Amino acid sequence: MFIKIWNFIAGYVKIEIAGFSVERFVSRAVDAGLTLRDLRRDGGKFYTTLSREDFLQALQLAEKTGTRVLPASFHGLPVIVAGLKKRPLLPIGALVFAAFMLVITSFIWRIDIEGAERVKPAEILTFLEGKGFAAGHTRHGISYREIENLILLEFDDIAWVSLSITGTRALIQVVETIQHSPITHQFEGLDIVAAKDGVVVHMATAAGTPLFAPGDVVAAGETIVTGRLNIETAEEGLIATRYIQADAQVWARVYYTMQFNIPLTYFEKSFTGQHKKVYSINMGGREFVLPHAPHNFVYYEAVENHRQMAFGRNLPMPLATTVTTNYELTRNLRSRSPEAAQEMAQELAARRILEELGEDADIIEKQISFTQNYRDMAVEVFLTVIERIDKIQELIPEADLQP
Amino acid sequence: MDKFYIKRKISAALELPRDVTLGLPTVLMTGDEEVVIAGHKGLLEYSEGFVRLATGLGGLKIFGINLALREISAENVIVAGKIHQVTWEGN
Repeated sequence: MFIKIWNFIAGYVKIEIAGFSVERFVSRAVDAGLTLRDLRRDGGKFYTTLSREDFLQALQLAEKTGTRVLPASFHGLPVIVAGLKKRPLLPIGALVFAAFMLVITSFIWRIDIEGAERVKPAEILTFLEGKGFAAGHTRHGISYREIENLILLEFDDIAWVSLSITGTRALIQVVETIQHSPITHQFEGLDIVAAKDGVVVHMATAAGTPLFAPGDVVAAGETIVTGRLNIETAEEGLIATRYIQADAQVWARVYYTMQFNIPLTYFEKSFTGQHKKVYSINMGGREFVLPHAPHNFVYYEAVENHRQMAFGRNLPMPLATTVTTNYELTRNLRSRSPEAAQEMAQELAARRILEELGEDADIIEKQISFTQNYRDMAVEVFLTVIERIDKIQELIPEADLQP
Repeated sequence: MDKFYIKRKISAALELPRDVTLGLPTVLMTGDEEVVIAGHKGLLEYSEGFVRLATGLGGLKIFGINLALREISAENVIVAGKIHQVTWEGN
């Protein structure tokens, strides 16, 4: 192995030996202190490998032994260096590139945050930026412990944090604390109040005194089940008041109203098939738009494709390319029939219900009314939904309310 | 009593390495893939199926298939290939 490495560094020659007595040549060469490697015979010709220094000596020996030595090919580092001498810009370019990579990889170009759910990753990044740690910070001289402590001290919801830097990517892994229960004081009383207006349908009280019954109308914020217990006797009346944590599940009929308009005219977009691309390079927060011929589209839609340059996962570079494709389109004014507007309203209503109430909403009644105007169709959606409206609220003892 | 006989006796008595004192070759075989001959005196014949070397003990013949001299220097010869037979001339 070491011999092969040395041969590569020193350079070697593959030669072809031909003649009447090749064996004699080999013996003379060996006697002269030459070392021949990989001597093979192919028909009447012999091939072997020897060092560059030995090659000149072998030429002289060949004359004496009546054989012919022809250099088949030169190999090794000297050959590569000689090749590079003919193209001086190549090694210079390689050196410049190596220096550029050395400089560029000594900075952090991306900070990723894992494990943050309640705390927004953007909040952590903004906080760290304020402390001087952001993309573009040098990799050297970073106090991992200091950054971790800063995060821990700033964010109460983070229980554990770890900073690691691989390549030009910093990874901050956090573990959040167990979410605090709204019950902060164990011995404080709690009420169950209504989160929304509605008509109580069903109640399941595990602790506390219900103040409403099924069929009652409650307003948002009203106490449904109280944690206040008044201890009374027939003779003495109110003896004492105790406070407990009320616990109940309350279902109510809740009414929702949605209003929106569907225009009876609209612009229909159709792509002409023409498009123009604009290339830009983002470097260190600055965008350089490459020269391009401006398009003359009256109406168009732009689609941006952003790509950060990176060598693998852990070596992002401060270089990004953005390709903006502008697709030409035409706009044609179209009218919508009342039936089509109603159909569209139904679809829009269904989408909004899904967005606002979710898939599991127990909708027991849905009414949609349409009013056709000159330019649009006014839509009103009325929903009756059965849902839980109970909400825990800290009970403030009456004594505390008194001045 | 010839010189070689005296040398052999002295080497045996003094427990000297005979390859050094008597100029005998050392042959080391690795399976049937390689033969290393140390202390040879030159290459006499070489083809893909046959190698003949000069040694202090006479000619050494190596028969085989696809024989190649992986290295040949003043000290060693390494013959590689499928080795079938290694014999001494005259034996």
